[in-house]
Amino acid sequence: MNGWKDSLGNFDPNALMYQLPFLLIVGFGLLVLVLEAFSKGSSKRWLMWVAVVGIAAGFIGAYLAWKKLGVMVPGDAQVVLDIARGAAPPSTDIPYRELFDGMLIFDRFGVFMNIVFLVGALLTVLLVADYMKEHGFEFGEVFALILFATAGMMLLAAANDLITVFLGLETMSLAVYVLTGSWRRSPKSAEAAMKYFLMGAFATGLLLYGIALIYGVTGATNLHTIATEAPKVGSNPLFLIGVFLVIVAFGFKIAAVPFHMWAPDAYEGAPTPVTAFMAAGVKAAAFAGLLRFFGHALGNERLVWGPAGWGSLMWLLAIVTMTLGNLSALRQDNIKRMLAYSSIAHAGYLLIGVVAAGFGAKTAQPAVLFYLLAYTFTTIGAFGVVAWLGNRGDERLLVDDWAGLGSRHPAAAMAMTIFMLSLAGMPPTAGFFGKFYIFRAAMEAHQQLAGQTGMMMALVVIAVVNSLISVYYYLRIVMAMYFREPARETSPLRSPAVALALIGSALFVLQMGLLPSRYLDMATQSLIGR
Amino acid sequence: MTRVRVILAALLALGLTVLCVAPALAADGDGDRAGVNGDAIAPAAANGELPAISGDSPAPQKPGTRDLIIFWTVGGLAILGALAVITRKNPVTAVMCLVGTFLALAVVYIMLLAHFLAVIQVLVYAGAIMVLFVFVVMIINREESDAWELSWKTWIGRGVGVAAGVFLAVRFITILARSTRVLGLSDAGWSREEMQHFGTTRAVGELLFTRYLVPFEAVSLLLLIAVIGALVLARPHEKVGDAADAAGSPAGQAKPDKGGAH
Repeated sequence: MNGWKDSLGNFDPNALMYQLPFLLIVGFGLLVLVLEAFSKGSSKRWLMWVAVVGIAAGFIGAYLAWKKLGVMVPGDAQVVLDIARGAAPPSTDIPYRELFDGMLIFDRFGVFMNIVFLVGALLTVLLVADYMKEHGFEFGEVFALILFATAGMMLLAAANDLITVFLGLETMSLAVYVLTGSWRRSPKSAEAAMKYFLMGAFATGLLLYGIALIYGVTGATNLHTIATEAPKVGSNPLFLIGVFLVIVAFGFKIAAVPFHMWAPDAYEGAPTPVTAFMAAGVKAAAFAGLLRFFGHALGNERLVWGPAGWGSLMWLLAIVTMTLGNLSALRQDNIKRMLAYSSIAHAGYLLIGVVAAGFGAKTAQPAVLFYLLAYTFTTIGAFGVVAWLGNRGDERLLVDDWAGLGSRHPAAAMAMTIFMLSLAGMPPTAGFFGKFYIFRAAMEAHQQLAGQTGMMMALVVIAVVNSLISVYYYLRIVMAMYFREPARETSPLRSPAVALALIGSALFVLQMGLLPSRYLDMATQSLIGR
Repeated sequence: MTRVRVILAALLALGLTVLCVAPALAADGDGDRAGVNGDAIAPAAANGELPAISGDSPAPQKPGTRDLIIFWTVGGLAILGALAVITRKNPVTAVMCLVGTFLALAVVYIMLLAHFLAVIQVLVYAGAIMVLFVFVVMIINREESDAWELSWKTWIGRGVGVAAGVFLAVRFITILARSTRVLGLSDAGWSREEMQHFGTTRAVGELLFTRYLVPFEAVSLLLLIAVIGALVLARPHEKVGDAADAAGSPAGQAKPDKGGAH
């Protein structure tokens, strides 16, 4: 308590280097706001480039932070390779820095997640400008809101304390609620924002209640302290209720069944680029929080295991989410709704990774990271094509509207095919390796359990069956594009920015599918510190 | 009805007066370090309600008459106000009584050396939240003499309510009594130094700018987003420039809003 001098004395300005991506993004967000306020003229499209520069600066910041955090095993490529093959990484050498009295932790996990968020923000910014112009609801603040939401995600990914977890989640969510409702002449957008906001507010309340209970039992909000305290109090009912509430709250954010009810409506009503941002960025950030809190801090066998363990609960959640998400997606004719259900199903696959991480599979964290990066490129790309195809007053959201796209716009149809294949998990794309690594991590967890139970094995089997089911509705769009006669004229967006975003994400999806090792190496080095 | 309002106004005025006087007294206590404010809590401890605070002098002085008067006045005001909130039939009256209760509680906080909490109590609860309540009540706009017809007004409902209330009160008092006994708060208590490190503006400020610096700054970002979001969602529809919009939506004739108000 006598500590302001101490903590000022301990503060190292160099430490801000670790936070560089966050600071740059917030700074550019403020810059966009100021420029917007003082700019003349009605078109705010040029602010997009300010945001793009900001995100590029964020990438440089992330690169510097990555370098500053050092390498796990300097110069030893063999270790990295071994880990990629499934060997356990040396757990002692994970570089990290805990800063601001343990409120934030900087490790390569956080930096990797920052990169994922920056990718999501960059693609969204490129998509959203011309989409808004086309549909007549341009406003300059959208870029600031996207940047601030990204900053919230970064805060969440670096959070080492339940308080910062909460604040990061809220910062992100609040900006996305506004983005969802930003198409103000569309009643659907308002409905989507309302539903998303109400559900999000419930989730916030539950999260806070859960945090309060956990704090009450463990006496700490710091994740590291909770990690040491939790095994002692693991069977305390209040602790279990607290953990349960936190799971529910995160379940809302990642749209896991049974907490997914808002997702299809919110995804359908939101402006399409914002939907992409929700599906990719928000989900990735929530998974970063899940991995830090559950996969790592509560990754103690006594807490994961058993009927009251969070692992069992999440195991069930993963199965229900995958299955119901896929089965519901089968029946959708609206592409945005279909992609919404598909996004729910993907949350289910990702939950497998979190459960595996909880069971101590060392490959689980990198697998989830790889999956999130692949999923970000893929899903934003897919929503990007949807955004590209529509024009004012005619959003072209039904599968029938896509008939014959292959002959009219071969490049766009090609890109959409790549994204659909990746979502379905077909080989030459990123989605295949994403799923593959997740399943492998689950099998490693199965071995960790030494065959005591077929839990993880069952999970993998169900996930594979689900992937097969999903092929039907993904390929339905591909079929419509290539094997049906064009129904009517299309006049898609003429926008270099959108084209750039689509081509870029398609290339990355292919590259991550053809040469996954680079990205996996990076993900393998990105372990949660401490 | 008018009589009730006069009484209420009097209560409110009294509360406000006490509120104005109390900080001066608190500063007084800080100055001569006679444990004035700290010891003001002692009589309450006898009732098992609040922990006693001993001053930093080895033999705590008896609480001054002035402190006792203030404590019992605001305590009584708080309880009377709370009772009035649930017994008045007129919603406006109930809401105003709630304001009185909040103000009285703020004074109690000041006496506990929790100055920061007291100010926040007045600003946030008595200020912002109560304004919201009053707005809602006004917007609902019921007849003033019209009592709220609540469906639970049956004997069963009343019985359950009274039983629950009694249960809560008994539990509350017993738990408080036990905790003060177990923790030995009723005679030992905190020293004045500890008190000053707990609730004062200085202590809260120190925490906010050291340990909780990051959350503090993050909240500022959060509030900024909230402000921008409110602006984005609530400003009038913009002029939609080109003719292509004629097909798009009927809102084309809305007024432009680019005055740079933000």
